[in-house]
Amino acid sequence: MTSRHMPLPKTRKVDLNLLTVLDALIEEGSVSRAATRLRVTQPAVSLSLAKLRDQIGDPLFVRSARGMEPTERALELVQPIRAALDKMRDALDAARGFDPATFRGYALISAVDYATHLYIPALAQHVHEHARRLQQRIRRIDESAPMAASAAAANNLVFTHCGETGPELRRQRLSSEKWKVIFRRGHPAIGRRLSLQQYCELPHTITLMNDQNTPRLIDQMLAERGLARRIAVTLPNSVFIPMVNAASDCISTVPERLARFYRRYRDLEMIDCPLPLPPAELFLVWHRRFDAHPVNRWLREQAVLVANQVWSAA
Amino acid sequence: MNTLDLNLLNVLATVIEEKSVSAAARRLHITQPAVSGALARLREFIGDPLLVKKREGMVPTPRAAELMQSARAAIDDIQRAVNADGAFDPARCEVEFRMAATDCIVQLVVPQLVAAMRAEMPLASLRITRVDMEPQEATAAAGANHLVMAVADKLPRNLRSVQLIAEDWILLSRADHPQIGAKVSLAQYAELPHAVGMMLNNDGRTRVDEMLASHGLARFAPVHMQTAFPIVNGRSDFVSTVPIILAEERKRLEQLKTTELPFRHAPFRQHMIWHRKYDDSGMHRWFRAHVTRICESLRTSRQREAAAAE
Repeated sequence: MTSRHMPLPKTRKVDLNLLTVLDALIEEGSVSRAATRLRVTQPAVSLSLAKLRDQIGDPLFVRSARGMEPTERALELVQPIRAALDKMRDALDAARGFDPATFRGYALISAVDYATHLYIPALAQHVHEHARRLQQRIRRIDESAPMAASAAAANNLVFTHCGETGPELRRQRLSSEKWKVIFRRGHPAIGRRLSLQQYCELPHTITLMNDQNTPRLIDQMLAERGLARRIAVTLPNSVFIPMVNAASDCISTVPERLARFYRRYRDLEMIDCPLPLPPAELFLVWHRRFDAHPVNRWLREQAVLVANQVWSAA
Repeated sequence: MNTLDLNLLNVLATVIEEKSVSAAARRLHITQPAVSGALARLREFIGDPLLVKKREGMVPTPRAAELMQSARAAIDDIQRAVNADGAFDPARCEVEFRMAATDCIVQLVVPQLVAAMRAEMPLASLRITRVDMEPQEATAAAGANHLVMAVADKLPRNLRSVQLIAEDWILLSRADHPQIGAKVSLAQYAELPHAVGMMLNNDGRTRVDEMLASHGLARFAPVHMQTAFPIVNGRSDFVSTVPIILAEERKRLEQLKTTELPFRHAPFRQHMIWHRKYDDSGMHRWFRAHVTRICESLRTSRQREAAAAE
């Protein structure tokens, strides 16, 4: 019997498949949910648990009112086991090779609004032309750094504005541009220039998700100057900004390329933003764990290729 | 009669609706300790824990549920009377109107609604959050919003609903799509590269996928998306099965075409849902009237276009 704080004796052999069961049990907290997740029967999970208990020499879980509670020993084991299992899976992925033409599977893509409108349609079409049976699962994320980090850790290819990403993540800048203010053509209150005072007086349309960074930065910069603006409309997605602004006297502050894109769809004009905002940047972000991951790597190459095409066409 | 601050009932009702003390405090514009204090007094008065903490949040005990059933109707009546602002003046209204809506309805209704607001109610603001197509979501959103525009089904008695849109579905693709002629068969439909986003069931399949499966067919969706963005455009091979009204809107902007579906599909419906305490509010009636008018004008302009096309 091993003492609780001693590492496993080197001679002890542990069935690696059992470790995936331990991982699932800790995550799910119940034999039945672990079984569902592992796609095996409940008795199979119970049997694996019995073997694990025997091999590790610890009860690993005790029953409580809340279900299965992991013992201290089980909690000690879970981190190193999880890291090791991830490494093995990554090694298998990397070893498998990747042929886009025959690959069947899916890829996860997380993108901020700017990217979904301006860039993802072209990327999706390009990827589809080269990898017919690859399913692209595209999810929308907000601009925050934690959001980008958690998406990247789950093997998403991430498109975000947020540059500060931490040591685990890699990033590549895809674009950098000025901010513009967009409003309907023939807006009665806007002439050839937009003063900061006018900017504050006019009603603004913003999006809720973007709330996290840019709008907060704008409000901060205004507050530093003793000013404030009036938010008239808060939308759930910036895809609706051109529709709302074209139909009303509302204005919005958006990156220049997005402003040009909106102008193709609605009768809008744009003008320089009177606030000295730092440039709007788009980054491709991924977790360094997936540097060699074949699907992730291939997609990154395509993403850069398409970015160059999209920007030069715009 | 026992003396009890009747406001405590309103606090309990709000905690039950929001399932959380902190959310209730925010909505009532009081502090969290004030909510906890109110609950403690009510607990002592009634002699029941009233709320229990569950995974989904604070849930009423049977005793509290029974109490609220009778108390809520009375609270609603009072709120309705208070909200009834007979001499409502839109020009002076400073409300922040909270709305939860599906992507589809935001696109169809909100631009015109904002135009009307800016013209008639310039001091008001509009805050919209996204809600999914699942009817449970719409019901849940009705507690924290003035108006919900989504799918109504089996609503509790304190909620009202009016149907805004009932639309058939159509296949949207680029105008010169090489795989789509004047008509598509079911087998051809299954072969197309679909972009799927709306109406996903829990298992990630749509109702269309279930229908195809019943014919022994399956479709491959190269793109799964969680949000509205222009993935079907004049340069992409992707197709999407969408409500006709949305397809027509997109066709005005891009080189796209619509093709009839090779199967029958239950219509796409969207409703306007609100709590009955707003029935007599002039402010609320202003919003309901405008939403209804916008949807009616969408319908008549669609009919005119259809007649002109024939």
